[in-house]
Parts: sequence; structure tokens; C-alpha cells
Amino acid sequence: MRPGTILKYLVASVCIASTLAISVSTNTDDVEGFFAKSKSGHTNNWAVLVCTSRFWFNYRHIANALSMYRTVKRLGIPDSNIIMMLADDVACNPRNIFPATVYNNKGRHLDLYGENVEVDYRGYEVTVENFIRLLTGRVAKDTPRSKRLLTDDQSNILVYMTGHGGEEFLKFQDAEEISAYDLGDAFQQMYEKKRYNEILFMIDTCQANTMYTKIHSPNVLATGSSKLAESSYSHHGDPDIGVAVIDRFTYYVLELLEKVDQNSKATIKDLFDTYDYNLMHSTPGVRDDLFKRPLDQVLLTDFFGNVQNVELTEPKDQSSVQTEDEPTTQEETEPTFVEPSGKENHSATLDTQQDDASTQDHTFEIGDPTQSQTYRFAAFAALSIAMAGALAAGSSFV
Amino acid sequence: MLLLTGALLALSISSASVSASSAGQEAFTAKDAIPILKAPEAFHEELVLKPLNDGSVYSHFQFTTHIGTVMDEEHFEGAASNLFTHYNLFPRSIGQILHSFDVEELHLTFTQGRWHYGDWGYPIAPSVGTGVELWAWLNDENKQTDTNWKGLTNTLSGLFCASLNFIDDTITIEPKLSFRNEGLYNVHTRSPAAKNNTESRTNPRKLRYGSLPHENVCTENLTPWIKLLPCKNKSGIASLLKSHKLFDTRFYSMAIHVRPVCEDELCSVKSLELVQSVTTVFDVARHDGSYDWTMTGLFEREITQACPLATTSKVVLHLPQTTEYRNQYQLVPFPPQGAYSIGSTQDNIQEIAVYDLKTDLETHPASTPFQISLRWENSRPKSVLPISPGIVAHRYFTGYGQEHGGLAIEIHNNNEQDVEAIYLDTLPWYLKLYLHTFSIQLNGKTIDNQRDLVQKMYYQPAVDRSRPAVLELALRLPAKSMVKFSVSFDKVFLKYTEHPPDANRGFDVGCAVITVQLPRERGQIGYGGLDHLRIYQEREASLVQSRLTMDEDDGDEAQVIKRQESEMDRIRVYTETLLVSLPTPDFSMPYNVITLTCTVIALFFGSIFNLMTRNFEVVEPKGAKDAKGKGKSD
Repeated sequence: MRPGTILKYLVASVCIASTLAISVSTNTDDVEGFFAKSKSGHTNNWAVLVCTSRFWFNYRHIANALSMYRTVKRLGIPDSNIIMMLADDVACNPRNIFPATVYNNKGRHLDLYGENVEVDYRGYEVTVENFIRLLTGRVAKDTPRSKRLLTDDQSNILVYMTGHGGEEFLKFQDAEEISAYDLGDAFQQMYEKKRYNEILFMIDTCQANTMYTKIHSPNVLATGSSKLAESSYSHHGDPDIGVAVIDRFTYYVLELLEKVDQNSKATIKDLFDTYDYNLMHSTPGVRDDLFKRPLDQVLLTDFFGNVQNVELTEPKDQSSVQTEDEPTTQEETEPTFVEPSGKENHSATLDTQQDDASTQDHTFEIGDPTQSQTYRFAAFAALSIAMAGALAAGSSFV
Repeated sequence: MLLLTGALLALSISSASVSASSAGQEAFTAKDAIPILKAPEAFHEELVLKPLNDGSVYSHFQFTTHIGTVMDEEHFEGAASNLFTHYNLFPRSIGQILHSFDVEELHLTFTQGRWHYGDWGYPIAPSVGTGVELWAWLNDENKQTDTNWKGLTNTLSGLFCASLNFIDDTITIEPKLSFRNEGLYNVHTRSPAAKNNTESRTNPRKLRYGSLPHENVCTENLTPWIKLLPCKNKSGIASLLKSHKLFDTRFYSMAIHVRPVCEDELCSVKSLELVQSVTTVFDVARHDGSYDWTMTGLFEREITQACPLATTSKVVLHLPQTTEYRNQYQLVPFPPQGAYSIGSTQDNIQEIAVYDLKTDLETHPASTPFQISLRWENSRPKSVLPISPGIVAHRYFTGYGQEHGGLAIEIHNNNEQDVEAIYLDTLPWYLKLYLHTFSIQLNGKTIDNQRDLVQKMYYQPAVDRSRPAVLELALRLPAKSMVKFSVSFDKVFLKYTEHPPDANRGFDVGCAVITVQLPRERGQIGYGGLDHLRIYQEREASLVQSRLTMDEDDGDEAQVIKRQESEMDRIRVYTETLLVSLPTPDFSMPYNVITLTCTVIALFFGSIFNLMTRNFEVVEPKGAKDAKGKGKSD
């Protein structure tokens, strides 16, 4: 590369950078308005869908979980952000006369299993231990990504559970049970580790409402299908399949969710308002005392959909800019940016930290609204120069 | 620039293969027509269909991807090194797994159902054991094999949505005689100079084998499998893969096999071969008893075009083998080149029809979508040639009760000559084998001198909760014989928490595997007309041959044996999986104990404690009023 061309590229890049910077400095509010930061403050969505029942006659529980799977997938949560736990395989069960299918309606219009399904935990892997390990992130070193809940403090998580339960417990495969206290503790641990922004906990089982009574962590919204001493019932059976295909609570929840699309403005309150004892034959419950936002402002897509919000911050860019302009100050600034104080605690408790930190968040760090305009100008200009320089170098090599 | 040359190379190869295939039978059998692959990557798709004697239709999808590298003898560093810098066709997820866990060879098979050797002969797929079977040769240079194996099982479990992470130390074994590596490694010892340094040069490799007999196979396993294909199931033969039909079959098996192979006779070009296969047996006659079928009826999908990325795209149909009545069936369309025979002897002459999708669909647009139908006169064949597989084995439990049991294995040798076989059995630690009870019967008579039959025996006793029992036998099965082994075991009491949730169902014991060298012409499907299998088999044979010519000091006898071996096919025969019921505890017992104890304490202890601590006094009638008054105030 001749020095002349370098000079040429540098001049060009400075021009581009300055124009860009000017436009940014004037239009920051527009940019933030464009990205429409969500009211909940979340930037990514996760879903943990658990069916804890084994055996063919519990077909409906697997159909419940798969119905939710299909809904959240339709609303944009990718398979990588959905953790599916199915305690049995009814789709390829020899008793299933429609192999490789699961239906939640006797009309059999929609095959929930489809051609593209990913089940992360199945069969004997669906245990209380694995579930709690998944939530709290305390998984074994070799655990693959698909079996990890790689959430952060900006994740909204839908936790849906279905199975057979009782007062303050939910059975896992008829062999063990998770208690309401275990669940409450798991959520608290998640809160302490900054593993969520908001959680919607939804459970369809007998005496379901007792399961959320021991949760005490903030920003958890919970709903269940039936109150203490009440059973939850199945909706209807399919004579060809030979067993009930869906539970009432899930059936009526889905009835509303089916009308929701990614741009829907339907709120959680709309969902809770549809709860009807006459339809569900049980008393669904809602617990919102831990939840800070008013329910009529919480979109259903905040939990069931995947709305990619972009947050504008710039802590990391700032340090990189300074290294370029004034290398001597790097030593001073670095410690303040590298590790937030809470982080050490985080990594000490989590043995799988290295995966969590870098890869999962969709946060796109451009600028921080709290920083001053002039500073942002400088930062952006330097960044653009760096980028343009790289571009120039790259193109000259070609 | 690189891309351009790559495209040119691919073009020249495809044209070469087209000309080879259009030349018909002569080209097919002539050895010099084998295309020598030098493209950096190549992809082949093939489908073999075969109507079986009982009216079922056997289908075998095979997708072969090669990622090539030129490696001379000096720089041979194993298969997984330095290959994975760029991916076009080869799936990156597999490449990364091979690379990060130092895997040289990987074989993973998911199977649902049981292969009926008696009715169906031998399958093209090498593994048909029910459940999941995983075996791999790992590079042990860094002594990290166990860590790598654990990582490998976990990663594959994530990739294929299966519980492969359950293959832990209690299941994993290291067979000593079975599951030899299938790749072509030994060729770099060809030159005398290299031969002297073999010890230092050859990478130390270790074998790990594990199987999960109770693992379900369903759409969630097929989904990630399809995603490994270059064309997914959007075009080409893979577009037939529809889960609803594939799982509605008598037998379903899907696999991935990775091994290093040579691309030319001298093995100067090596490549890594990824074979993905799906094997199914469709029950055509289930509904109306008719043996007629069409491809659309089987798969409910159509092939509209060959995968554009594929070098070859072929459908091979094995024509039914009928005895006296020729032309009992009608095949539409009949391939333009006509049918021709594979197999060398009268025993195993097999007529096949080959459809080249690349030429057929592109040159005759009228033939799209591609369709085959086979119809019989009166919907059924009048008579079929019976299949007699050379080696068939059955394994079953003997005894009764929940304390002791026995295991019996029957191996039938239907060949006219003695056959060498290796028997491998893995038994979970909770079955305690007694090796002194091991006995052999030959054609129903107990024999004392076991040496004649069992030439080698390798036995690894189980260790509770840490490793399984392994029994491996090198056998010499007499011609036309039935050999039966039996051995007794005790059933162990498991701890309360060691039982699975459905403990009363029982515990599955995986297949036993018999590795056997069979002469190529014995009622088997064999390589089934799959060009690429054939090419590599012949190449392998020629490499063995060329090695033999160098080993002159081995003596004539050894040469003869080796020469014979090169004409044999090595196949694996799987037995049934077994279900053993162990003594299951009464799981509600702790609850009962607690309630009973509490009742006893409440009723008896409570009242007796009350009686013993109370002080009974005779109260004067006068003081009774005072006492009453006091009691109220308390």
C-alpha cells in the first residue's frame, strides 16, 4: 500500500466519520425512538417449557407443552432460546396410531410435532435436579448449549409447567416432586445471579396456585390453573388417539394466544380477563404482587414473543476508543470497565461462566444516553475512523 | 479465484461421472472408470430401494460428503487435524466436534425397531442394533480420551436432541476385538522408510463404545440430522424424508459415520468421509395385502430435482428376485440404460435398475417429478427366492424369579464352511455374571473342549456403579452348525434412588454384536449397488493387496489368508435387546413406614406416656370445687 493511498483513505474516513457523528449527535432521540425500547427493559426472550408426566395416558400434558412450544416459536422465539423438557415420547410411541404427530385437538388440524421440533431434555433427563440446575445455571461443564438457559439480567423468561401435582408440589415422572419452596428458591437464586429481567410463571396442574405461593423474588408474575383443593381437568379426548388431548386451562389460554401475532398489542391483563370458571372448571389464579408493572401495560409478546429491543450503551466502546487516542490512560480506565463489582460473585457461583458472558445477549451497544453529547461525538468519530481505516486497509489488500 | 477453480473441478468431475454412468454396464464393472476425486469437497446422494420377500419395501438413503486434503506420508497427522478451516458442503457442526474432541472416526446410529435377518437378509447399513449406538476412535496423543469421550457424548446429545449423555463410565466399554477402525489409516506405512518409523508415527488411538437400548428415536432426532445435509430436505433425494412416513414403518434407522479414506489408489490424497444414512422398512402390505407400491405412496413426497450441490444423485432399485415366473411385475419407468446385474456368482446375482437423477431429470423434463411404481400381477408375487443369511444370532434370558437368571446365545452358521466370528456382549453391572457357569453346546450337545470353538476370550468383570461386564469371544463356528452359549448371573438389589421412574418396566440390556467375515456372495444386500461403497471397498481391497506384495517376508501361508480376507465382507450381526426385571422395592414403603410409625407413637406411646407421667390422686369431694375453679382460670 502506497503512503498516498493511505492518506487518501484517511481523509475520506475522517470526512465520513464527522458527517456520521454530526448526524448522530443531532438524532440520538430519533434513534432511540426508532428502536422503541420496551417498557419491561428486556432485550431477549427465553422459554422453559416443561412436561413432567411420563406414560401414554398423559398424552395431554405433552400436548400442553408442545402447544406452548408452537406458540412461542410462532411468535418468534428461536429454538436456541427454548428449553423443552418432555418426560416421555408420545409422538413415536407404538400406541400412537398417527406416528410422529401430537395433536391438541380431536379435529387434528395441526400437528404440534411437525417437521421441525427440538426437544432438549427428554425421558429420564427430566428430573427435578436437572430443572433446578437449568434455571440456576449450575450445570455440568460438558453440558451443551442447547441444554443451558443462557439468560442475563435483560431476559424475559416464560416458565411453563404441566403435569400432575398437589398442594405445593408438582410430580416429576411419578418418581419425585418439586415443591413450591424449591421453585421459590430457584427463582431467588436466579434473581441474585441476575439471570432474568422478568419471569412469567405459568402452571397447569391440580392445585396449581399453591405452587407460586412461595416465590418471593421481584418481577415474577405467576398464574396457575386451579386453587387449593381444586383439580384441573382435561378439555376433551380424541376417540382415535384414545386419550384426552389437552387440558382446559391451556386450551383456553391458547384460544387467546392463537389470535396474537408479533405485532399484537394484547396485554397480559387481556389474557387474565379471559379466565372463566365455567369454561375451565377450576379457579385460575394470578399473583402479581411481586411484579412492578401494571398488567394492562404488559404485552403478551413480552413473554410469548421475541421482541428484539436494542439498548444504547457504550461502556466497552469507550475503553477501546481511549486506547487508540491516548494509550497511557488505558491502565487507569481499564479496571473500572472490565469487571462490574457484581460480576465476580456471579462467576464464582457459575462454573459455566465463559459461555454466558459473551455470546447470548442481543444488546447492541452504540451509545449511552447518560453520556454527554461532546463525549459521544469524540467517541463516535474515533470509532468511525477506526472502521474506515480497517475498511481501507482491507480493500487495498484486495 | 479459488472458487472458480473449485467450480471448474466440480464441473469436470460431474461430467466425468455422467459419462461413466451413461456408458452403462461396461463402465460400471470396469475398474478404471472409477472417478478419482480431487475436489476439495464433494457430495453424493443415493437411494436404494428393495422389495423384500414379505412384501415390505426396504429403503436406504445414503448421503456422502467428502472433505479432502492432500497429505503425504511425512505429514500425516490424523484425520481431524488441519482439515477444518473452510466449509462448503461438509457440516460445520460435525467438523467442529471432530476437531475439538480429537475424533478420528465416529459412528452414531439411532434405531427404532428390530431388523429381521431371516426375512430381510443383511442391511446395507452397518449398524442395526435397537436404540442408540455410538462408537468412536479417539486420538490419545494427549491422554485426554476419557475427557474427550465425555465431551463428545454430551455435545452429540445436544446436537441430536438425544440422551447420549447417559453414555457414561457405567456403560462405556473398550472392545478389544470388535469395532476395528474402518478408515484407511495403515497406508502411510507403505514405504519401507515410513514402515520403520511406524511406532513413532502412528497416533495412539483409543476406541470407545456405548449403547442406549432404550432410547427413543423420533422427529427431534431427524430434524438436526437433516440440517447437516447441504441441500437440507429442500431438493434432491432428501426431499423424500418426511417424518410422518418414516416413523410409520417396521424398522427405522438413521446414522452418521465419519472416517478418513483415500481418494486414489496410492493414497496421496486423503479425505474425510461423512456418510449419513436413513434406513427404513415400509410395511406396504399392511392395509390391503397388496405388494404393489409407488414412491409417492411410500414417502408422500416427490423428487423434483437432484440436489444441485450433489456430484452424483442416483436411485437404485433392486429388482425382485423371483424363481420360475419371469416378468411377474411391471416397473414404471424402466431405466433408460436397462437393468444390469451385480454379484459374481449364481447365488447372489442381483439385477438392479439405476436411475441417474442428474441426467434423467435435467435432460427429460417430462419425467419430473421423479416417480417409480412397481406392480405385480394379482398384486403379489407367485414365488420368491428364499433368503438365507449366513450368520443369524438370537439371545434370550433363561431362568425365573428376581434373584438369579441366565443368558443364552444361539448362533446359527448356515454357511458351507467354517466361519470366524467375534462375539461382543456388554452387560450392565447390576447383572453379576458367573464365568465358571459358561458352557457351550454344539448342535444341542455340550462340548468339553471349548478350545475348538472359542479361540480367544476376553472378559472384563463389572465393577458396581462404575463399569459394565464385557464378554468378547473369538469364535470358529463349524459349517452348518448351531452354537449355543449359556452363562448364569445374579440380579443385584439396586438402591432406592437408582431405579428409573418406570422401574417396573424393567431394565434394557443392549444388543450383542457378532462381527463376522462372510464371503461376498451370501444372500445379503451388501453394498447394494451403491457406487461409492463399492469404490471404497475395492480401493481398500487393492490397498491391502498392494501391501501384501510388499510384505514378502510374511510367507506364502499368511498371504493366502490375507488374500482370502480381502475377498470377504466384514459385517456385523446384531441380536435382540433384552429386558430384565430386577427386584423393585415398594416405592411407597417409606411413606407407609412413616405413617405406621407415627400412628404407633401417637396411639400407644402417647397414651402410655400420659399414663406414666400423670399423677393420679384421690380428690376429696370438698376440694373438688376448688379444683374446678382453678381449672377454669387456667
